[in-house]
Parts: sequence; C-alpha cells; structure tokens
Amino acid sequence: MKTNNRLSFALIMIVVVLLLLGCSNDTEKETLIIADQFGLAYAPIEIMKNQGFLREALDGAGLSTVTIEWKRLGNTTAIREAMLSEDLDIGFVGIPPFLIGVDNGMDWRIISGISQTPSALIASSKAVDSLEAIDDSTRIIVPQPGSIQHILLSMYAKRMYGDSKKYDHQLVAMSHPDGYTAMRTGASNTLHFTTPPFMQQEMKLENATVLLDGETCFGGPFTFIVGICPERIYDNPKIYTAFKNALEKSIEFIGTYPEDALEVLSESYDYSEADLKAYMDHPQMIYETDVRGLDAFVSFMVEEEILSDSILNSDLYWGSDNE
Amino acid sequence: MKPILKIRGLTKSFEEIPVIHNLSLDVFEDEILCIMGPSGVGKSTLLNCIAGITPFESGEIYCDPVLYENVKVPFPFVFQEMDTLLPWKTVRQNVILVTDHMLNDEIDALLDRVDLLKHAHKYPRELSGGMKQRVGIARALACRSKVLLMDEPFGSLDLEMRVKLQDLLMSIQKKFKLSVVFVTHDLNEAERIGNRIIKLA
Amino acid sequence: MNKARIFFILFILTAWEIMGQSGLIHAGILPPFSDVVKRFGEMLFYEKLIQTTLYSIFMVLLAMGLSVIITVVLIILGRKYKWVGTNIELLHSIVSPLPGIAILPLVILWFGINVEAMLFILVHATLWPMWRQLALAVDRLHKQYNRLETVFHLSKFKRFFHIYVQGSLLDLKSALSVSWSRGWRALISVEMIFGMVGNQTGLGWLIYERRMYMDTEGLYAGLIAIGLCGVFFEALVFTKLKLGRVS
Repeated sequence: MKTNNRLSFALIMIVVVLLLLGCSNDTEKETLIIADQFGLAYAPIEIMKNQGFLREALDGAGLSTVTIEWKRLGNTTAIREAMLSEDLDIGFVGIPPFLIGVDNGMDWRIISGISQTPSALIASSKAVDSLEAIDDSTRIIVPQPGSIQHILLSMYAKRMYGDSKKYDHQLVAMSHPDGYTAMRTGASNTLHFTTPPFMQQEMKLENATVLLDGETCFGGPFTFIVGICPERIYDNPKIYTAFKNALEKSIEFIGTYPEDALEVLSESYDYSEADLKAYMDHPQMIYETDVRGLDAFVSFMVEEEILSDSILNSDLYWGSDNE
Repeated sequence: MKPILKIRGLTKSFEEIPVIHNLSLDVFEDEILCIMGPSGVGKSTLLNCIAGITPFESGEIYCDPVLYENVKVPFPFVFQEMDTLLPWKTVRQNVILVTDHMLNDEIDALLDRVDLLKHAHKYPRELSGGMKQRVGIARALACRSKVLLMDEPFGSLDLEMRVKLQDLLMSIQKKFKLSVVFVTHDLNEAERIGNRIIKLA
Repeated sequence: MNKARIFFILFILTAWEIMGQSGLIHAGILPPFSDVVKRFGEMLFYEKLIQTTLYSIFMVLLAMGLSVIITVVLIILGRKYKWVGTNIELLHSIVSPLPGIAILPLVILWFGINVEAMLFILVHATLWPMWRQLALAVDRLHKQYNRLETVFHLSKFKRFFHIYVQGSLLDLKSALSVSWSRGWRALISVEMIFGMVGNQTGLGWLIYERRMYMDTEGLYAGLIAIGLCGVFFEALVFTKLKLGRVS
C-alpha cells in the first residue's frame, strides 16, 4: 500500500513539472502565424490574404516551405497573450494596448501602420444630447479597459474636466457586435464608443445621437491600428521584409483598384458592396503605412500613470522607419 | 351495547377490481375488534376507508356523534411502518404534533403510560422498534378519540416485544374504554387480545 | 491525508516560485509566486480588494435569497395546480442547462445593462438547482407523510412548517451549497463583462481589468481571491452549517 501511494505521488509530481515546462515551447520557423480582428480597420490584411500577396512575397524570397496560418482573434488581449506564448508571430492592435504590452516587458515593436479609422461615442436615446448630460448610472461600452476607445475618452475627460479617470467606473466591456445589440434596446443610460461598421449601423437606429468622435478626443488625426511583431520575427529579415512588402502592396491595392477591393472585402465581411463602399468612403477611413500620433499617446498615458516612465526610453519601431 | 361505528354496504375497487365488496359490520364501545384474513383481502383498505385516507365508491359509515365531541381526529391511526414518525422531531415533539393545546402535564402522563417518559427527548433513530411503535400509540392516544385504528402494528417486532405491547394495548383500552379496530394476520395475537374476531374473505 | 495535501501544495508553490524566478517563462504568463503574494498584499491593503470581494459575495447571496423565495412559490404553486407544476418542469429542463453567460445578450436586450440584468442572470444560475432539489425533497416528503397528514387532520400551517420546511432542511443545506457554486461562477463571468452595475465593481471585473492592463501578478492575486472565496463557502460555510438533522 505504502509503495503504491509513493509511486502515484511521484507520478503526479512528474506530470506537474512537465506541464510547467511545457509552458515554454520553441518550434522551428515552419509556420508563420498571423492574426487580425474583425473590422474594416483590418481590411489590408484581408486583401493580403485574398490576393496571395504574402505567399507571393515569401516564395519570391525563397521561403516556399514556410506555411502561413491566418487567425482571427476576439480582442487585443487575446493577440497579446498569443504572442507571449509564441502562438502568434504577427498581430494588429491599437496603439494603447501595444504600449501597455511594451511597458510590461513584451518585446514587440511596430512594423508599420495599417489604418486610420473613424470612431464615435454614440448615445441610444435623444434624452442624452451631450456628455455633460449623462449621470452616474450611465454605462459606456468599450471593447476593454485600456483599449484605444477608453484612452480616447480619457483624453477628452482630461481636457474638459482635468480628470482622465472620470468615466472609468462607468465602463462596460463588450465586443462591438454585443455592444451594438445592447444599443438596440434604446435604453437611455447606455453609450457605445465604436468603429465602422457598427458605428454607422448604430447611427441609423432611432433616437441615436453622436456625442463625440475620436478625432475630437485626440485633437487631430491618429493611426488606429498598427502591425506588430516580436524580435524573433524581426531577426528573420527575409520573413520580415516579405511581410512589409506584402502589406504595402495590399494597401496600394485598395487605393488603386477600389472596385476589386470592394468585391473581395464584401465577400470576406459579408456586407453588401453598397454598404461597404459607404463605410470605406468615409473621409477618416485611411489605409496607410504611416504611424501618426504615437508620441501623443505615449505622453498622455505616461502622464496619467497608465504607463511607467521607462517607456520613454524604449524603441517602439523595428529599424528606423516612420516618423 | 351500542355500536359506535356502523358500516353498511361498503364497496371499494382498485382499477375496477373490487377489493371490498358490500361489506357491513359494527364496531361497539369498549371492545377490541380484530380483523383477520389472507393478504390482499382488503383489511388495510377497510381501515383506510374508515380513517378517511381512501375514498370508497358506495356504502355508508355511520358514526356516533359522541365521536366528534371535542375531538379533532376521530380515527387516529397506528401504522404498521415505523417511518411515519418524523425523524427530525423528538418523541415528545412527535406526539405534540397531532394535538392542539395539550398541556405539558397531560403529555407527560401520556408518555408515562406508554413507558416512554424517560425517552421523551430522544429522536426516532435512537429508539428500538418497540419504542417507536409505542410513540405511535401515544400519538394516537393524544387525539383523545374513542376509537383507535391499528394496522398490524406489532407485525415487525419480535415475539417478546409483541407480547409486551399487546399487554400495553389491552391495559390502555380497558382504562379509557376505547374501541380498537385491530388488523392482524396472526391468529394467536387475535385470540389473545380480541373481544371479537372478524374474518374477511 | 492532511500531511500529504499540505506537502503537495507546498511542492506546487515552490515549483511555481522556481519557474517564475528562472525566467524560463515570461513574467506576463507566470510571474513568481512571491511577486503574486506581494501584489495580493498591495491590493488587500491599498486597493479595494476587500470591498470588491465583499460586493461579489453580497450579490451572490442576494441572488440566492431571491431564489429561495421563488423556489418556495414555485413549489407551492406547482403542487396546487398540476398544469403549473408540469410547465415548471418543462421550463427547468429547457432553461437549466443554459449557462448564464449564454443568455447574457438576451438579458441585456430585456433589461439593459444594470443591476436588474445581473441579478436576473444570477437568479437563473442559483434558482434551478435549488428548485430541483427542494421539489424532489417535497415530493419525497409528501409520499412519506401524506397518510399521516390526512389521518391526523394536520392543519395547513403544521404541514407546511413541521413537515415540509423542517423536513427539507438537509436538502436546503446541500441545495444552498450547489446554488452558491453555480452563482459564484456565473457572477465572476458576468462581472467580467458588466463592469460596474451597482455601486461597486466585483472580483470578476477586477481580474478582467488586471488582464487588460497586463498586470499579471494582479490577475493571479485576483484568481486566488476568487478561489479562496469559493473554497470558503463551498467547503466550510454551507457544509458545516448547522441546519437540519440526520434522518
């Protein structure tokens, strides 16, 4: 009996140790894993996928053995965690979550900008015609705390009331589609800070009012989504360059062949071409590799102690590209 | 002697099969009436009909009005199974359950009569089979009726205990001049305690 | 037995600390145990960990209280009117398997984002196991004591209180324990979405927020708090509760 107990005990210990060791894995770079999220801001990735630009670029660099795996994740944190566990190589996130990752020791940096996107804070009832009119019972839906929407709202609050955390206790975290569902109830105590296409869909709801837009909060245009990767990818110059080139090609494609792009995207996103055209014709919907407004985000978030000072000394780009 | 209970033409069927068919009998004051018969002949059913547990199709049961004077429960029952005692109540509480406004002294006297006063604070799981049946008897007596219905109450006890309880029953019946309707399948028992024996067929 | 358990826990904690300090795993995934303890202390004394925890506990207990009341009503109505009883059974079999988080979108559509919505989901989580167990208990009690009740002409109150209420206390105790675990789990997952619906935020939102801000030590500290509460209530409060008597 005693030997049995000891034996099973030892077995359990071994399993536990193995499990803990299993947490870190390293694989030979045979697969390139890329993840985006749902939304028009990520359109260039869809184009890249569909038109095979990345495949082309990799083959051209003699990397035809590298397979590409495309993933779609639910939110930025999922992307961050996947990259931490090395289950993801290239991701696309908003600037604030990217900065929080850098501040907490992630070795990822910006490859390139992807898009500027319009965003708006929408109220579902005409009873609320401005942010001043809301009270403590009002709930503000954002994708997550620390998301770009949350930061934009905080910037506005700082400018108008001197308190960036003014709305922090009124946040509710929901994905954009769930937030849209909530807005449809028309309750007078719900606001949603959202992006296309949900933004346009909500504005069509009866009694919807636009209280704020992203650019007003920021005080100017800014890049919404950036492409990022960890050092191990940058240290593989063939893959890194192949991706960069493919991305530029995708963004160019949208500008040069808008009708073809619309066709591809309308299939990927399951929207009608007419709707999609309206969304993409929005003046603030700009696909470009430039990264705008990074410094402003950094200084705001350091000032509000969401980030520590040390980030001011960190390099945020791979190579020395954009300004 | 006056019958305290008159049953005329009682018929009870279960799913079209007549269990009791046109039964008539009298129960008199101050007697132990034993009802006997083979299994399934309807002895328990008869008691259940009298007690009001089971409805019957036709027939009548006449009760002497004295049965209802100041009595809430005219036909208290002592069951065969001992699990009708509430396990979360003590002996005393089980007896009090069926009464309204019985004084503590009266309850003590009752418990003493069935020789359970010393065990009044115990729970059913701490009691033997014989003790549990005594609680059942005390509970029935607490209703202060003139009638007592008993359905093979001592059937699962050993011989020695059975005899003791038979003696107890007889002494109680004599003291309070009760009419006891006692169902049993044991002829010895019936002959020992019964003033009259009726066989159902 | 206890010695083995303690040794096992100590072993896990030591392995955790070593793994964390070794740097083999990124601190964003598994920080050293000592850092987590430090952060737990910070959150306990300088941030609102206690209030947050108490608020979460309060919400579940409130939902459980409501569930007890609703259970009693359902059982009484279900026994009185057969068609009501049948429909409640039907409702139970359809709705009970649904986790609270699955009906969240519907609930938001009906109630909006407020305390009522949250309580609705919590009551849904806690009600059904409680109703099931107590309905079965009442059924059992009825079968066993129906003859007793009839023969001795027991009053409605006596039946209700002395037989059904007192007789189902043991079942109530185990039902409370199950309801608590269902409710606690539902609460944490709903809080992660709802943020602040009352005057306070709860543990669910706390771990969610910590994760968003990549405060992994804080996340683990929050998970420990959630686990400790679970153990405390399930293994201690509702098990050792002096309720009912062994039958």
